[in-house]
Parts: sequence; C-alpha cells; structure tokens
Amino acid sequence: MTELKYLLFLGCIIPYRINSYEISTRKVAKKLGIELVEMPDFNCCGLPIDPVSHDMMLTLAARNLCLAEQQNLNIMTLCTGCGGTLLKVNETLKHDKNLKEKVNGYLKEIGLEFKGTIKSNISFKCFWKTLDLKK
Amino acid sequence: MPEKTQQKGTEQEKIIKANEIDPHFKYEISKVPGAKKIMMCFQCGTCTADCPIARFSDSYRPRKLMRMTQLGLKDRVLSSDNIWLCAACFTCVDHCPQDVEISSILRALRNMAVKEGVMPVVFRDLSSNILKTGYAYMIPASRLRKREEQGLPPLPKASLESLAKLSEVTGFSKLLKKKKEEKADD
Repeated sequence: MTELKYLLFLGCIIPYRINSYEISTRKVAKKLGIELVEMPDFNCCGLPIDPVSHDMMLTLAARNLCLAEQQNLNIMTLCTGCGGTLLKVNETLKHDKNLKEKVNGYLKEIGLEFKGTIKSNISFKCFWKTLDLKK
Repeated sequence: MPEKTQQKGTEQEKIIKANEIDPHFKYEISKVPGAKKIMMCFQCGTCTADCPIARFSDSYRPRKLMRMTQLGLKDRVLSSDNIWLCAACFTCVDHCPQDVEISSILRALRNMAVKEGVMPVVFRDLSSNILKTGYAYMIPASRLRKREEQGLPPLPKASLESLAKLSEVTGFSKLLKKKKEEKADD
C-alpha cells in the first residue's frame, strides 16, 4: 500500500457548504504528488445519527471502511467529524472482537466484511506524513 | 447548597419517590459500549464546571444527569430535554478524574430514549436524508451545478439498496417507524 495514494472521503458537509475546502485540498495534494481516488460508493459516516442508533452508526462507518479495504487504499477525510468517526470506529473494531463480530453480522447482509487492513486519517495528517516521507 | 435548577423546580419535581427509582437502570446503561464507567462517577462536578453548554444553559448539568442515571430515575432522565443538549465536544471526558466517558453515556441515554419513542425532529430529518440520498444533508441542484463550474468531479452516488437493508437489520428503520406511529396516534 503506497502512502501517496488515498481514497478521498468527502463527507456530507463539504459538498453541501464548503466547496473551497475540497478545492484547496485537491490543489495541495497535487503539489505534494498525492493521488486522490474518488469513492466508488458513498454513504454518510454515521456521526449525525449516533444519538439515534449506535449500531447503525458503527455499520455505516464500517461500510465505508470496507469499501476502502476492497480497493486496498487508506482513507483521507476532509471533515473533522467524519475523520474522528472513521478513525475511532476503525480502531474500536480492530481491538474489540465482540463488536466486530456484531458489525460483521450486519454487513454480511450486503456481502461485505470488515477486516481492519486499512487506516483512516484526516487530510492534514496525510499531508504531514507525506512531507515526512519526502525529507 | 442546592443547584440553581433545583430552586427553580416546583415542589413536586423536588420530591423523588421510591417507586420512581429503577435500580437496574445503571447496569442497563453500563452494558452499552463506551458507557461502562457510569458507576465510577463520584460527583466532583468537573464536567459541569468545564462544560461550554452548562455555562449558557440554566438546566443542563452533566453531573446531575450522571447522578440521576446512577440513582435510576429512568423515566425522568429519558424524557428530559437536557440529554439532547450535549454537543459532544468531549471536554468533560478529557477532564474527568475518574475517566468516565460522559459523552458516551449521554449517547447511550439518547439511544435508549429513542427506543422509548422520544426523538427530536432534527435527527428524524437527518435519518430520512441518509436513507433517501446517502448524504446527511440534501445537496441542492445549484450546488451540483457549481461543482461542475468549479471543475470538481461529480459526487459519488450511494447504494440506496444496501443502506435500506442495513437499516432493516440494525433495527434503525424500526426506530424511525416507531415515532411515526405515535405521531399518527396524536
């Protein structure tokens, strides 16, 4: 897995309100030589409905992580809400076997399985890592 | 010293009757992932002192909610508007000397309140948006046109069938329907 290729996770609020953030991220990524791949399929990270159903939130986030696992790419998030959620869910599911089993039980219905092979990071952290690599 | 809110409450609200208390409530909450440490809270009040919401609200006191949960005032906590005020900034979690994850406990309380049929309108809207489009916010056509003008690639589409299926198996759609039935009764 190369560090210079990321799956870009836009989130809901960036296309809804803050296009400028997306534009500048794409420009910075281009300058740093990072290739951004579009998500083949997208759903909300789940954070807005965490208070309604924690299970649904875990499943939605895990589904996004599964899609990235299929492509064997790390995720780059723009919105800090999505970033926090995907990071937290990824780490929790990697370490909590019971929870992972539960979520995988849900994901089985749509033919996906969470394996925990990728990482999810927020955009500036990805840029930081790239700069470190180039030193 | 009684808190401000207690002084404001009526005489009826101040009295806690023994039959209101559900001794199993705290165990029920502690089973939820993230809310294990509810019993560790020793009421120091650091959460309330640091809470940015409590500073501007007359009624939201995280410490009070923790104590009510520990005591088992299930109906009062779940029907209270206060549990929906937390902005999940996690300041209380960072500062808690007992490592109680107050935000997670509030999330557990909210989940339970939804199961009882209490759900603020905003969460209903967000949920139906996600099931309809995959995005939490309805993105207007003018925004999409602007994206094209700015030379941005088209937004990825959501697979709505799998979302519907997931909401079915996780019991999410049931939760949404619950409120609707109640509304019809009104």
